[in-house]
Amino acid sequence: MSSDALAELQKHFLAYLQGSDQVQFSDYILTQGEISDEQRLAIYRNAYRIRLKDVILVDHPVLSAYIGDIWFDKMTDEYINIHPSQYYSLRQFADHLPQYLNHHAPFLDHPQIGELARFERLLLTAFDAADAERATTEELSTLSPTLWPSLTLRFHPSVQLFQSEWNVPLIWKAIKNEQDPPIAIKEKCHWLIWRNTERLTEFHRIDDVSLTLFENFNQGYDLAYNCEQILALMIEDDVSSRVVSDLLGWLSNGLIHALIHEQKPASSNLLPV
Amino acid sequence: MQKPFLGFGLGLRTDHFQDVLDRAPTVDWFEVISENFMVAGGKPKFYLHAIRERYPLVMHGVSMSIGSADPLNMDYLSNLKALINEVQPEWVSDHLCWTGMQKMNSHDLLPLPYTDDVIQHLIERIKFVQDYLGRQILIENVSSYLTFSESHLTEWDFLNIIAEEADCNILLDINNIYVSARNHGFKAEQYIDAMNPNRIWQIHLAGHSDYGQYVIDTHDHDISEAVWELYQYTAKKIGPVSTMIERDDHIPPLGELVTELDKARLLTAPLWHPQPHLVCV
Repeated sequence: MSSDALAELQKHFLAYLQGSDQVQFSDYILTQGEISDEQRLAIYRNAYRIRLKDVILVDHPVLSAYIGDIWFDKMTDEYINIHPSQYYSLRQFADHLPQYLNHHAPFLDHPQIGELARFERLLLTAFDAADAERATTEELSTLSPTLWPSLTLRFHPSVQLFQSEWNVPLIWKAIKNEQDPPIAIKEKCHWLIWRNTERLTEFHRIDDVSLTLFENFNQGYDLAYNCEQILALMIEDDVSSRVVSDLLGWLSNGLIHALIHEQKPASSNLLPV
Repeated sequence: MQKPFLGFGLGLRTDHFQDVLDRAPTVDWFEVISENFMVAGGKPKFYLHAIRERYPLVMHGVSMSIGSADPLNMDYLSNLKALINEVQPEWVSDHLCWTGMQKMNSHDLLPLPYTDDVIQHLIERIKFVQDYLGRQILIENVSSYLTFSESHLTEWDFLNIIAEEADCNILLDINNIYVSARNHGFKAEQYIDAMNPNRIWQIHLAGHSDYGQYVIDTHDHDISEAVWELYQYTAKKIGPVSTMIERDDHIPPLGELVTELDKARLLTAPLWHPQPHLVCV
């Protein structure tokens, strides 16, 4: 069997697994004993679909419970056809599931379903994101006041921002706790997801001020810039205490990898060279 | 070359991570699925390292796709090599199969035609992988449900020739031999008799689902009596080989698997006299 013939056989085998009957794949196999060719091939075709359905069930337990068995079967059957795995690890197989749900009936008529899938994928991302040291509240409290304006942050690699038009984290939480989920409500909200120091995934709702601070710090802007930015969202007297409160909260919950501050050189009469 | 004898091990599964650390079970070593730990960090990596500190580990892959007509996936091999450096396993294995081509991965261990051309294809690729990884690998026989019309060799001849010519070792799955023997109508003992004991570095034991007419390798049951008998036959024939149990579904408490593993110890005790840690072959 030449390498071209092997490639042809493998191509046809994969097409058969995906449901194509364009090529009579049974022509490639030897008829043996009491098991028909069709039975032998069906073992592979069934295993292919069962394995991938199981992956989606394991990755998306809450989504699966929310949509029920009939829609789960429809979703997984179609997703497997449209997005065959292109990865060597099953961890990435369902990465396109939120996108699929947002564009295919009947799911697109219930946008919270796609959002719920996106939320569960971000939980997975936080679960096995890279490890990194965590900065402490003590580091902040011992920081010289002169260094505060130039303070920038590096968030822990597990930190994810989830922005939603629907109350999906509440739906997720209710189902996870084996309670009836709340009715889906259109509600623009922002959540931070991260892995805590006990390696457990957590999520926490944030308001517009915290969102602004998070986005700016995440883009590398310093504390002084952040204070200016949130002036538009609150009265001036509250700005400092609010920024400190958010920073302390993020530090104590393990969201911050590092506090970065530049030690400015002491003034001197030397001219730069 | 000396064949290491690690004793009796288990496949490390997520359900048992914390139990392994808390209870320090009487298991000589663990086998980890390589792909499950090709992640950046978090719980999987934490437990991998914590358990590595306490037990010898071997790495078992499912995505090398050594028999694919496609070029080898260098991204995969690069990540495998990085994980090997991180874990420092006793050895690394994958399957005598293919899993996909043209960017599609079936995530199944698909059978190959047993022909001379395919043997050459596999030899070249195994040699390349061993060269790239800087170590010998073990190749495992898979269970199969069909035979290609083009095949003109038995599976055991196919496997033996590849192992000799590529200078790799063999992970012999006793359950897979049993399953394939039932599905294809050959005698499992004939397969065992034909194997070169020097190449067999590891044995897998597992359960299957018996549908009467055919058998499927599901890894979701206890090991059947028929597979235990075949294991005993193999143990007598080839001598001491590191043995472990794979369980992938309906995973019981760790204690039950340890008890099942004890059966392997008991069955082989009269056959394998007390052995030093290394067995000369």
